[in-house]
Amino acid sequence: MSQYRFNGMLEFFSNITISHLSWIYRITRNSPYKVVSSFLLLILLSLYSLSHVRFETDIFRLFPADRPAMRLLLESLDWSGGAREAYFLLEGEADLLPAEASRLAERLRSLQVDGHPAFKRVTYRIYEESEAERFTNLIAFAAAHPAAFVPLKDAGLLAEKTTDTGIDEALDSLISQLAGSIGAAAVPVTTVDPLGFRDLVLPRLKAGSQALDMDPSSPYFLSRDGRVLIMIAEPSRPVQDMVFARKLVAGINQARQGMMEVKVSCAGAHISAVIDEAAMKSNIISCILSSLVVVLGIFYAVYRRVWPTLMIPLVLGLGVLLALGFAGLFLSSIHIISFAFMALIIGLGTDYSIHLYDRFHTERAAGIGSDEAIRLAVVDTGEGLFTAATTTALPFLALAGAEVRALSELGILVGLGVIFSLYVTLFLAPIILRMIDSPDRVYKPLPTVGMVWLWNFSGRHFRLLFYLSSLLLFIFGIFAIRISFDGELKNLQPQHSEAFRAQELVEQHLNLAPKSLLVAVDGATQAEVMHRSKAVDSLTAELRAEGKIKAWSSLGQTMNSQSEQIEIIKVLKSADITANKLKEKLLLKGFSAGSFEPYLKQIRDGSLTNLIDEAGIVRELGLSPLRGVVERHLLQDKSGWHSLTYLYFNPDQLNQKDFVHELAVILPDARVTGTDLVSDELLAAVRRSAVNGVGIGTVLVLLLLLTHFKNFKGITASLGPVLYGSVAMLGAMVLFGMKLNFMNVMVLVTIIGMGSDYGLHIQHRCAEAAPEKQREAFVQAGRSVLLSALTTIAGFGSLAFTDYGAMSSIGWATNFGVGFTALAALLLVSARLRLKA
Amino acid sequence: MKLLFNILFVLFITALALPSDARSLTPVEGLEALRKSFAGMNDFTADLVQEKRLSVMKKKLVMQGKIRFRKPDLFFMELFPPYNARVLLKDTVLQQRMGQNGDLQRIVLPSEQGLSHWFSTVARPVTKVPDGIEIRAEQAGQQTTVLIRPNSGGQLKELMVSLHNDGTVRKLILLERTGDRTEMNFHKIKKNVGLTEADFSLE
Repeated sequence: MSQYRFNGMLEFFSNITISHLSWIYRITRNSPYKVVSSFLLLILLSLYSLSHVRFETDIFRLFPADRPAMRLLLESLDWSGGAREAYFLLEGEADLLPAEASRLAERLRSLQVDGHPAFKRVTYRIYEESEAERFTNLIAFAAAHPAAFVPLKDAGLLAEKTTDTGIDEALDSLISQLAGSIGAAAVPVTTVDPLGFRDLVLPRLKAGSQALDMDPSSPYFLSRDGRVLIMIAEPSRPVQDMVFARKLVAGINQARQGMMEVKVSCAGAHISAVIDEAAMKSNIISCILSSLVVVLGIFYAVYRRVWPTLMIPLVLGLGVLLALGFAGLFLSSIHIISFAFMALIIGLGTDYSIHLYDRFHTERAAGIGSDEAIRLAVVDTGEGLFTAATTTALPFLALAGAEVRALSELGILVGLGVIFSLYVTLFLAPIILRMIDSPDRVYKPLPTVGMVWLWNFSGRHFRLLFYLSSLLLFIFGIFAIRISFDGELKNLQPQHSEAFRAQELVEQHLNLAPKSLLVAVDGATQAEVMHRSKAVDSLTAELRAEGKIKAWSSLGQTMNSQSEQIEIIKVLKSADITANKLKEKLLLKGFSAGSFEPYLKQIRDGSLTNLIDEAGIVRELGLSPLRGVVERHLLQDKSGWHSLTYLYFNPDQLNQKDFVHELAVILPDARVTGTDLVSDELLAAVRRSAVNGVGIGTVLVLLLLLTHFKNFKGITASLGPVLYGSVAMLGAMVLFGMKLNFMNVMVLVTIIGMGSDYGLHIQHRCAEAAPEKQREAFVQAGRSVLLSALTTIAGFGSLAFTDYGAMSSIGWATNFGVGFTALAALLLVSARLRLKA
Repeated sequence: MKLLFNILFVLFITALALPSDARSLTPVEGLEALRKSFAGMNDFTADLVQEKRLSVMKKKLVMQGKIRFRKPDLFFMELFPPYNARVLLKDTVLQQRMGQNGDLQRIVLPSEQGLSHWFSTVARPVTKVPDGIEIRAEQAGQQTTVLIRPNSGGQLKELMVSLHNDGTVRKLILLERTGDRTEMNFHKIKKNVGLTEADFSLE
């Protein structure tokens, strides 16, 4: 009874599909103007919807920003100035870099946009003369309040400096400095720090300001190997001002023209927004155009008809436009990379035109009238197309709920693109065919493209084919199980973009260590976050002592906490130093004590033993040339205060999961990020999306195939080649040194829908044909399948050659998958049909 | 010290007493004299006596040492004990080591203050006074004195260079806006002795 009901339900769905297609056939025949008018209206609506869609270029927007590590990574990019500053990496001979940097810096400083300076500041040197006064002020503060900065381990040295001998030595050294410096250059610093406390403070401040592994002996921001010099510039307007960003980049390009001795790479949000966006757009446009040219070339080469060939761009263009317009109803923005996947529609959407036209042409060549040929193409072949399109579209649409935006947008756009391409084909192709056809037009039989030979071969050697394919499947399977996963996010980026090049240079020449972690402690007040981050400092210091990290930095490393200050103050209190004593010594050494009066007054007021509020120390640092240390480690935004600690380590030096666990024990709400942690989050999200996608996609495809064939033989014919193609795809990827990544792993989902079409079309046409008509049906369906596969490969192939690792990896994986699946469908389904016969 | 003061006094009086020997030069002539003094020279060494009158010291600092210069961008100064300091300027990079074992300090000067910039400027024939500076020059006997005053509000108020007719610099005086004054007198000057990189080392 249930079997009967089930079959009845399948029959019902099948009848609905046929009725639907028959309606399309009738309306295109009886009311073509209504159809065209409706499409024009839809085009206008789509254009309106599309005009409200924003296209994004930021690669990080493709990934789920609500995951802890990813969210912190994005926040830190904004905090650290990564989203605000421009970076110039000069590559060349060490002797040439300073002079060339000086030239470039002068050009950048004089660069104007709309009559205003383009940059607020340009720095490439440790010490800038313009910062001399601020530097002296910081030294003055540190000398008056040594407890704020002198490391606890140097408390003994500090005590020595306050003894009689220490003071004498400091004043002698002061005289040497005054004598040895050019003119009176040393006067300002010596008067604010006569005791030379800066000798104990400056090394600590310098170490704390090092975010990159730079040559400590160089006065420039120069890598240790002397090959790369980094220049940091802050544009005067934010990146959101695209008009400014474009003019800025034009100015930058002009400024670096003629830098023959060194190579200059740029990075930063402004540069990415303009240069990489332009490169990305041209990449995508060339991708779309090249695949369109190849697809049209293939179509024309086989069918030799101009108008049907020209119909394809119309169908594809409308399919893409309607899909984008429809997607615009529920997507406020679309990433430009997702838009690139519309190139896939060229490959997939052409399939319907091929099958429909091939059937029409074949029937006309067989002497059938124009109207009946169109009916057979729309209703009979259309039924196969309908199932094929839905089996392709639904696994893509099943990705719509993916946590990773890249996959979700890919699923929505390609799924919608496939459906709209099918409907545009079904509605417009009959109208166009009626317009261009006439009863006296001669339709020559189409080339068999080797399908007759294939049919005969599979009939004669079906056993050989099965054995051979089984052997190949086994071999590919052996390789397939060795497939590995590439979790490096940077490998998904454009491999030859400026930003990628700059990132590589930093990694190779300037990174403190290959791996890093960032710990954020959040809170409502500055004092709270600074106090709580001491626990992070302690844990990190332990790791450093155990050799588990190479370096680390935090604000606590640069300045003393209140408790550390108290220890230093104890030492200073026990020292016998007074303003009068220092004054006497100064006079004895021949100094004019009046010049030191401001410093002496501070000592009289007890500055040496005063406990300084940490906020006060941070404020002084923030006003000094070392304000970058503060900006890097302590931030305030609308959510509150954030204290940041950076850890640098080699691969395998630190177990990151253990560190996260230990940190959670001592500071449960501390947040951690790093590229490995982000990769882990993404991998988990992608894994869930893949499992869900494969599950939902497979069920939907099975149901659709069951509705279409109403038996399991058809399903086997459709999905068998997919299984073969998937295993062969993974095996081929291993053989060619490719890995699965966050993007191409989804091909395992989409291949189910795309690949099942090939076996479906052959089975649909051949299984129901009379034995004597099977050969003819196979030739027609096989030709369409072959051409469909070729056009799909052309569509994805254009992606394979893009600069984007993300797109390129999808392109290659899909080409392997589609190629092997189509081959399996043509060889094995025909062999199975012959075996049955 | 008293003796030195007397000598200076006598020299000063002599200079005042012999005004007829002094001839005012135009600023361009003064700069041309500077340019010519460097034109035929690739390097030079000299013994140095430097006097500094600094606002922070009650008495002037007098020190002795050596200087070396080589075109296009190397300058080295060494002060003998008790002050014991070495300074090396390579174009824009200024390195100093104070004391016998003092830390090496490095500072990069703006490119317009670099040696190569200065010497490439004075290598060209002077046709007009550069913007931003005021020049006074005069010639007395075999000595030409050029006074340079930057108009901008920097640290340096005045620079005076005394040149001998043989093209060597004999005296250099830096007067700063704070009133601090540095006077460098050069003796035993030797030109074009073939100085090498090794002569410009802080170690």
